[in-house]
Amino acid sequence: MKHDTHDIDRRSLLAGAAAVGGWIVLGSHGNARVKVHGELSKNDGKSSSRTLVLLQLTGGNDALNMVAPYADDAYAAARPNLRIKPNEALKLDDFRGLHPNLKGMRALYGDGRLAIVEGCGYPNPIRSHFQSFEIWHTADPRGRNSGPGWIGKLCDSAWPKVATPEMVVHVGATAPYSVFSLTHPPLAFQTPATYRWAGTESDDLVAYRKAAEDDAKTLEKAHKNGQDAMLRRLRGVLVDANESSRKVRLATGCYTTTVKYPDDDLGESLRVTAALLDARLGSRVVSIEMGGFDTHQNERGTHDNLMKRLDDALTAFMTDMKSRSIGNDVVVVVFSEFGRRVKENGSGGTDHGEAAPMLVLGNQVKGGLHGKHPSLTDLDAGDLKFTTDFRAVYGTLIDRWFGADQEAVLGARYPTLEFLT
Amino acid sequence: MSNIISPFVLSLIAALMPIGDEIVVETSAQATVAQAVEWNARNAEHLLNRAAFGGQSSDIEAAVALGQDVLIDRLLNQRADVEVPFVEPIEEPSARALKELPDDEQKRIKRDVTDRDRRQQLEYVGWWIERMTKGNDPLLDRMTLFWHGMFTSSVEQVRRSYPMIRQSQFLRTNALGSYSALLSGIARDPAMLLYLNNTSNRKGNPNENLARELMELFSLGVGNYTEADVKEAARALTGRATTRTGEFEFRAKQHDGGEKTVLGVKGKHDGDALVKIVLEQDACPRFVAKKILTYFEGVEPDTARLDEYGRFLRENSFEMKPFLKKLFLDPAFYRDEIVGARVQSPVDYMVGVARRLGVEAPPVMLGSGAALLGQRLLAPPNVKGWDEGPTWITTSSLMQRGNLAGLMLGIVRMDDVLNQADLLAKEADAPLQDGTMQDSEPMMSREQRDEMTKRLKSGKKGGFAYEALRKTQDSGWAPTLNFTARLQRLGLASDDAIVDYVLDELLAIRAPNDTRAKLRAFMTNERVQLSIRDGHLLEAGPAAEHVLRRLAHLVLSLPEAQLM
Repeated sequence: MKHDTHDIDRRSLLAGAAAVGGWIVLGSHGNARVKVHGELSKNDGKSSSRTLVLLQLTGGNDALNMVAPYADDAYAAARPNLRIKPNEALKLDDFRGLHPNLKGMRALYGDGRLAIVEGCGYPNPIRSHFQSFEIWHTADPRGRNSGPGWIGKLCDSAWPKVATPEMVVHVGATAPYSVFSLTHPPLAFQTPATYRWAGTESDDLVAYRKAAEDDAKTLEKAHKNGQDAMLRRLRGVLVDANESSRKVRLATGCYTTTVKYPDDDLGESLRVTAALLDARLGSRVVSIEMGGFDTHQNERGTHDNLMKRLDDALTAFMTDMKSRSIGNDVVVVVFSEFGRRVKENGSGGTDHGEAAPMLVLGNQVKGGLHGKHPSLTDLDAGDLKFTTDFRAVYGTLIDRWFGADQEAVLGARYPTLEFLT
Repeated sequence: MSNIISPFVLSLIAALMPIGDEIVVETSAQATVAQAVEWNARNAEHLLNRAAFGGQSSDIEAAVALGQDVLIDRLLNQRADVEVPFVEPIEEPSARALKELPDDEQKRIKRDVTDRDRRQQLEYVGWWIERMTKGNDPLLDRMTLFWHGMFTSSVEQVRRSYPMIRQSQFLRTNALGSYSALLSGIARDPAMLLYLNNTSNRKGNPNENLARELMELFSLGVGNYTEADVKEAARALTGRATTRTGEFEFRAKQHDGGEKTVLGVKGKHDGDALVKIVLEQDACPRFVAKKILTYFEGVEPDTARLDEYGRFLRENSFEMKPFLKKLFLDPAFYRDEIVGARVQSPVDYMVGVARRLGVEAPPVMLGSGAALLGQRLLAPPNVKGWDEGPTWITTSSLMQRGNLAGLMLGIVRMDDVLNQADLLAKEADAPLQDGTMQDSEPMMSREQRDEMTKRLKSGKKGGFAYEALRKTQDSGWAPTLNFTARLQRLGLASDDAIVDYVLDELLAIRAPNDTRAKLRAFMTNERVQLSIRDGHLLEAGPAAEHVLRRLAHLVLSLPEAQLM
């Protein structure tokens, strides 16, 4: 299996990376005394320090109540109880408005730092959470049968020789498949402070490190499956863990900011994200997740609350990013596995749907509306038809943000969107 | 001599040949030939790992002596006589009654209800974990866990422990019975109806949630039904609801009694008719067989094997016992690709470590530990249940597993996990290279450290599990464990013998030679530091015991300890 050779490459590369690695300053605000060992930036132009924050809204966000076509009669008719009324909407133009709790997002929109790509989806939509996520995560209708997640494919294509363990980080318990890769596996941790192994004596730590190293002679004949292959993979994880645990704890523990992040999981995840990016550990992609969007019943109160939490946390993050040098190198993309049915159901909720807008935020983003709003009357079994393939958003990020080649990652070329200049 | 190779010779070849990619001796086709696997320690341990919750080497020896058939028969048919815990609905007084009371009193009552409900939940999880650890009906517990991950509901959404525990007991009662009974029961199970919003699935206003997951995740899989089927199935399920205390209730007025067409079958279907139609689909036994095989083997079955097992399940009316018996006797279940190659789930890890160590860890410690590692019983993350396999291991969860093992060994404390001393210490191993002065101040201020600790305790991101673990530790629990005495009893004294013993006893797999060599070097180094000659370590008393526990901690923290 080809992953095995990559795996070997990665291991030998890890050793090499340490040799060419440099020392970089951690923290741009008063923490300059803290030094961390990090990746020496490759001089490959403006894209060399750019990062992407992927925020996944799990459960199927009701995007029609996030960016609401308040002036559309079809919207009002389909949602007598659930709709965002014209007097509630934070108007973007005379047709659409943001959910009333997205005040921070409305301000960012006014600032030109929020781009809304409307009607994102893909052909032959699937209304299963899990299968639809697989398509979003792999950018391929075959899902995980097509190989690693799209971020894994991006790393393989854009930075094949860089083996910084912090290249891809998921802040949370279980990483989504988008960051799955055997060659560039993600770091994942929920609480940075406990991201360490508590060996009781220093000899233990030495032995713990050593045990993670492969003895080439023992495992070189590892089968593609089976115990040896699995062992080798887990040893790779342990090498990464040992290398990164201290760096990550330092970066997050020492991070100071005047911005008050909300005291909830998303706020904490974004604070950790800011700290990691500010430390410039070589992270290219940070993945985070917010759950609770599967609003089949009594949606309005639940969704209002979700929108408020999303707005509070993202606003804090974007405020923080505005005052930091790293800020110009960060783009946030917000996505969900599908939108929800146009017509509300009998339980004051909505069932699984199809197309939905994606949000792109950043200092370097060309704000405003992109793509085309789907029709609320020309529907596919009650659901919005997509107008922009979500892979065009990925493709634009790959080409324009990372200076890589979307065809190598996505296996095809999609129209370039103008949310990045 | 005929040129037909006897099964016995085949199995010898399998044992002797290094199996490369092109040499596959035990294929599905051959598995249909009644060919028994050689019943040895490797295979007995494999069966105990996957069908039960692992065991000590004495358990494995006993399993070998018992023989494969008898062991499988016991797993399937020997029930433990256990009393199930008492559960009751814990309800707030009605809103009207509450309103009459002063604010303080209202708050107190609400808090009291929450606390009692939480306690009932923890007690039940503790009881279940204890069943697994004691291990006198392990296959029943294993299958209950499997169904819990397939017919998923979560107390996070259901909100109350009573229906969740009742669901768990329902799964347990039928865990080794027939899948049809399980599917039929789960489609009217109060916790499931609450979890998937069927309580508001009404005539004229259908809610698709249960209908969709019933076909997608519980019985058929995507591609084996249409969107129209989902809509029609939702109509069939209208009216299935719960009472206020969480009992099943059929609301006839809300049921849509009209004609529907589900999966091509026309009729005035209700929920039971829907289940019947689903069970008759060809996709159904294949879907269930695939789920079970993938769970027990860790890899998806190939098409030939899936055909065979799907057909068998159908022919045996979805009964679990013959199905599992066939699987546990199948030589393919014992092939190299599978044995020792499955990542242990957090429950497997916590329960397995306790069992292999022979430590009586408080169930709440094991349950909270598993929760911290991503598997909170009664609260799977979503309706698909837990993603089994390699996804259990992240950089951070791998380290946490070691820390939890250290806790069970009594040499790591919760404070050690949270302690950031290595950050507070001066940067000895990372000299600055740009010529700036090295600051003598600690890396992290006291305020920053306090803030970090506070965040951990705030109940967010697993804070609750940390709190439970801390409480267990503060209650003064310590493991009853004496490695020194065990080794003395066995007459093992040399570094090599000690390392071999600890590896064989504590791992669910056979350790590779390089691991053995590295740990022997560790052991020798520690002994030399104590100025003791090889073969005499055990004479060092508490110092020896400390070294042995550190060795055990190391072993249980390794990638090798995550596999089974």
